[in-house]
Amino acid sequence: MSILINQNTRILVQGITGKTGQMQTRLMLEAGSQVVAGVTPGKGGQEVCGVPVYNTVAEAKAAHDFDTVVCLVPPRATRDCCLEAMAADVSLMVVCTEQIPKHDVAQILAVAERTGTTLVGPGCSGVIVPEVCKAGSHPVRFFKHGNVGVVSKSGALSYEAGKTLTDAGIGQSTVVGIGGGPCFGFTQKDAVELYQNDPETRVIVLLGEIGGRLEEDAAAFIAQGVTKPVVALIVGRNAPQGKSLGHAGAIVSGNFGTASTKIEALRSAGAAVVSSPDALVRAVQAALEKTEEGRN
Amino acid sequence: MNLFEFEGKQLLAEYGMKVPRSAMVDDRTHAPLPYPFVLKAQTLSGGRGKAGGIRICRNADEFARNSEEIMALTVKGQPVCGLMAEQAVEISREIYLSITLQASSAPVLIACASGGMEIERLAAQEPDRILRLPLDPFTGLSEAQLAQVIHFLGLTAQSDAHSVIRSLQDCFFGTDALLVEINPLGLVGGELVALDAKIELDGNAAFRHAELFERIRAGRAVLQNYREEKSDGTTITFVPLDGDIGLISDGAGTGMLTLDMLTDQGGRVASFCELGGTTPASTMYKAMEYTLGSGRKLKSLLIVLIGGFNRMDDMANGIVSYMHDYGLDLPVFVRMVGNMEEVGIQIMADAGLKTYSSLSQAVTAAVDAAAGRE
Repeated sequence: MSILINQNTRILVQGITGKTGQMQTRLMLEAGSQVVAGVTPGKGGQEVCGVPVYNTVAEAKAAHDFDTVVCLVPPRATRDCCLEAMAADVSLMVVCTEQIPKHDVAQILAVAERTGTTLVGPGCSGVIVPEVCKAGSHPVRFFKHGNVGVVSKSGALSYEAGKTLTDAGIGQSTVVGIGGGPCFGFTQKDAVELYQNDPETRVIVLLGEIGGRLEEDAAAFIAQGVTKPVVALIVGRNAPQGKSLGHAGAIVSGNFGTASTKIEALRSAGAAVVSSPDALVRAVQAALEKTEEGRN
Repeated sequence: MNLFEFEGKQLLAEYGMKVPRSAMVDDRTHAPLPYPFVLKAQTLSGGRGKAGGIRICRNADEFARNSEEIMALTVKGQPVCGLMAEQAVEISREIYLSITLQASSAPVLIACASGGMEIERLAAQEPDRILRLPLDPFTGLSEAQLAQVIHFLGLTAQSDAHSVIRSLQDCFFGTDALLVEINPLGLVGGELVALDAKIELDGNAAFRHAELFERIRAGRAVLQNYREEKSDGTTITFVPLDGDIGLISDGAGTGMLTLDMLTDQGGRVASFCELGGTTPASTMYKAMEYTLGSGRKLKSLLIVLIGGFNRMDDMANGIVSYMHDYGLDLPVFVRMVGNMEEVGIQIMADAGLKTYSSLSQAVTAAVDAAAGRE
């Protein structure tokens, strides 16, 4: 199994006729995803890579069955698109768009909570189940199917970890990029919880970065009774104070949000904390061997 | 976008809040208000009172001396950009009141019955005296919450309390603000008056408030010591550091990872440069300009690319066209993998530039080159 998506997941893409929408739709189809419909207002009746385009989510819903929406629209349209999608009763919403007005993000997250929609993002790379399907931007070449569940804030860092693990012959059950914050729908803690309950996942990899307190929350959850081994890598140890390093959420102010407080919290919770991709591979390898011994 | 006090107060006044009578100083030999008045440094940093940026002026001599001294101050590294004269008032009580969306996923109203101090210090010293109410991002304060705030602040007998809190919230939602902070909100002659204002607007929401942003920009002409920071129109984050290895990445997470790996291996990074989002060749070109044109002599340049949304052909075109325009007179190491990598690597090879697949190999090569090792 996997978390969040699987071979039965049926996807609608918002913004499908845009440059990014077209390319990412093609890549999702190539990855094995069932993209059943797309929406761009005013472009209804067109096709993108053979996928029918509708003017509204409701029109698409009348003609197709889908449970997941990937939102690839510009920042100024994102709130209305997300609200429209969540009104159509979807269970998973992947919001890739960055630089959405903060008030809009607050409204999107409030509606996700009210409707019980799992919302990954905003500003995220989404989800991939290697060799099965994906809902987001993960390049398939970096990933292979296996037993390591990965969650990352940064999209690029989740590619990096996937590539390093795959190069070493270690496959992944699912890889999730939740976005650079500072606001999140789906969190690292949520992913750890799903991986703990996913029979296919044997080792959990948590990729974090400076800023906020998501990693600390995940650590508290791990300490409460996650039995699977957790390997963590926290980046931004050498970041200067008070500067946002590319992600709006990646900022250290005073003692809050530093790499060292996160590393300490994860270590105390029993996670193996590493400092480079090579060390990550070694730690995951060791953890996998241990779970193998446990089985025999 | 952070606003100066005079801008914040003007905005609050437009939303119905009472503010003291004030005027900007544009001629330091001419008092803009009758004496006595308070002269206040206009700076984007907090802590100006302690730094001597707020002083009473009772006559022309004090005005001349104080205005000169305040303009020469630096407050927590920020310059004093201008001066505001404000009517001196008798304050019988100070309160803290704000709504913020800076670090939370829902707006939060924060209130404290005593104001004047930095809220961080208040929170540390008297956490029980602070009220935090999460607000509905669509509808704001409910009637019950409004009553709760007024009761908490001990303002039940104060007939203008409702309208003050409404004004605060209307300003917050009406301008897409990330922060509207009134500290202190003073009780002056029986009325609640905003004695300071700290407002941060959301640059990502500027498209909804084009007129307001333009008005603020134009209004800053009144500041004697203010230079507008021009946006370059790209999504680049550039942070100067003090080493000799240039670093460019197409992801914040991998950029920070590479910064850590370079540092762990003894390298010293000259600058952090992240491209952001889905970026065209011109953004990569700009990133090279920032990184190499900083006036510092770099010993090596490391470009770390792993494309999901980003296309490697675009990135390669950006690097190669920079090389054609300016040349590259230092060792350059490019890790290029991901979306469209076959095309990108070919473009690089045609220009005589080698690429790496492994991040750790590229990092080691960049550190070795900077240290003069082969």
